[in-house]
Amino acid sequence: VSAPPAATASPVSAAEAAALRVRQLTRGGTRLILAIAIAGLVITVGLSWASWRIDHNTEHRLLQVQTRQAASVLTSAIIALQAPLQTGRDIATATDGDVAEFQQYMSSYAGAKGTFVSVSLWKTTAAGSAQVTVIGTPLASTATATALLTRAAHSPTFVVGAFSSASGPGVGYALANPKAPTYSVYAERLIPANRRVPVESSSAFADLHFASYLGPTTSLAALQTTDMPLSKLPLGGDSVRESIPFGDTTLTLVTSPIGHLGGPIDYERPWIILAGGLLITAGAIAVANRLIRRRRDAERDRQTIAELYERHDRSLREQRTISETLQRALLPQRNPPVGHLEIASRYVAGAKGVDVGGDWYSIIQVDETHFGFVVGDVSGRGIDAATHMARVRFTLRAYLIEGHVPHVALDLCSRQLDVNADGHFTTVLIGVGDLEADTITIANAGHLNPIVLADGTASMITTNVGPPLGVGGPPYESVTFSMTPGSTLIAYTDGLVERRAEDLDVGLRRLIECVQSADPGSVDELLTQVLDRMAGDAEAADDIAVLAFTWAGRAAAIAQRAERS
Amino acid sequence: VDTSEYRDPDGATVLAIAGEVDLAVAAQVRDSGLAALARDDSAALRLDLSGVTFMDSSGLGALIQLNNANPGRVVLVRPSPRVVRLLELAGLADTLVVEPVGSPESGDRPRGADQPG
Repeated sequence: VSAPPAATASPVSAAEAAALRVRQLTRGGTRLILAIAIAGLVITVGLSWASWRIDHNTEHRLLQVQTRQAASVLTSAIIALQAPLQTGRDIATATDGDVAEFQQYMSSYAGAKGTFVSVSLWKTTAAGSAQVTVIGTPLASTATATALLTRAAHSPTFVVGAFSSASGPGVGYALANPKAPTYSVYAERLIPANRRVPVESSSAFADLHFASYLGPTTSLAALQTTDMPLSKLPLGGDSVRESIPFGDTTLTLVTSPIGHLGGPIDYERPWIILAGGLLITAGAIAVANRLIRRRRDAERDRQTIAELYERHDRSLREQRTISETLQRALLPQRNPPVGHLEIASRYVAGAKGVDVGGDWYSIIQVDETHFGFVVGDVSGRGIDAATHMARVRFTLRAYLIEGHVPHVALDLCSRQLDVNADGHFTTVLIGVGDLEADTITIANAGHLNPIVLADGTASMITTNVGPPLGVGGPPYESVTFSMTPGSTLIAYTDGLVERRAEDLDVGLRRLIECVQSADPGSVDELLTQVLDRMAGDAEAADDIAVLAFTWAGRAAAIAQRAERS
Repeated sequence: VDTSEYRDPDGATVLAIAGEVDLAVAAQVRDSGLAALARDDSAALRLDLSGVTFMDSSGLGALIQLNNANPGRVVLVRPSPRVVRLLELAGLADTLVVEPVGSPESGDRPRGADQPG
């Protein structure tokens, strides 16, 4: 008995491949989650920043618009300052310095409750400027007033100058007429000492911090008015500067927003986007993590299943190897020489399942003129069937060697078997040949009848078929028939002829045709040709055992005995 | 293979077996039959084999085991010609009790068979 072929494993088993896949998934999963986190953060921060930029730009634009509105309000206020001065000057020019007329007109503008603290009319001659009349109490020195008036003489508009006085900082206005330079007007206003002015909620400045400066610079010295403490100046953050024409100089208005100028949603949007984006990113990570884990679990399951399958396959292979080893051990490696018979046999394992069947054949020399042969089939498959086959085979062999005729051997053997206790039943064709009488006696226990090929004609031997061994029933019967030299007997198991798609008789007829139409040079070649045609197709799912021998004839047998003696 | 039970016109329980009876299902067929025999331990088990399209030696083994475990109580009813031929080839035609081929509907039951009503 040769050693069973070692079960060779493929270089990378399915289980190892699955384990590798799990590791790859773990690595890939970590990378994927990292990528999602980075992408989510980048997109969120980007969108949030863009939204903030848009809001910032909108804010700046709104600040510009509101500052422009505030500037136009200031422009109106400047016109309101300029208009009475112009009218007063024109009245004085028209009335040639009529003090009463001037005072009557100006009285409503000057004084503690008027637009100006004081307004004075000046007459300019070659000798210089001299005050004609004054309404209210002048704050600045005469020199300050004269200096402004001198500037005004050449200015198409009024001129503005800051001064400080005992009552606090003030602004002086001087208006002349370069075409009629005789009469000019000088007026003064006080600025609150701390420069702070209240802002009404309905005014154009309601939403703004502001500081106004006389002249183009925004130094503290030039500061006119503001709503902020001096310590908070100049205005920081997002600020807008607007220059407003103010006499011969400019009024510089600097503003910054008090709060958010646009709608609340514009202000909150970047934060909403940031919070929402972070939430979505976290959610995506959670979902991805869960999917990856589920996938990994599935891979692990697959790995487990693959391992189980491999183990299963391995054990099946081992089982198959054991069964085949056992069966081949039970079959003769080589048929013994029997007279001058030419003997051939085949065993073909079926493609069905891993278990081997219980088919067998054997041939033995009983004495100088007799030999026995058996072809049998144990129902069922596997080691159990194979051991049962061995039991039946050696029992029958013993009876044959003792010299029992075939039907007696079957009766004796059948008595020792019980299909219900064994779980198997056995069909057997058993025969004894007489080499000198040229006869064969056979008995049949539920088996298929043998075929004899004589003179180019194949035919089936008819027997009295008894029940399979172990079933019980009537005693077995033998039949005896003659064999002519050169004729061949073929005994076989049902695997050779049985096909699911057709009746057994069709298979038997096909076998007879096969045997008859074969053109062999030897009995071995005959079996090769028959098996090729009968079992070459994939349908041959069952095991097949075939035994064949060609008759040598009485002359050969007698000659052989003579040789020996 | 399909196994089902029905009552024939005589009121006897019949176990109908249909399909291919081979090694894979032989034990199932045997166990179904043994279960039916165990339920009523006086009545005969009638096995309707008209639906059997294929049977191998394992299937035969199941029938023999049923028969030998309950001598005289197993009757094969309406076996297909294929099953009949298989029984002949296996030398079991005299061992197993077979009711002649033919269906009650077609009326070609052999003379002498009990016809109800």
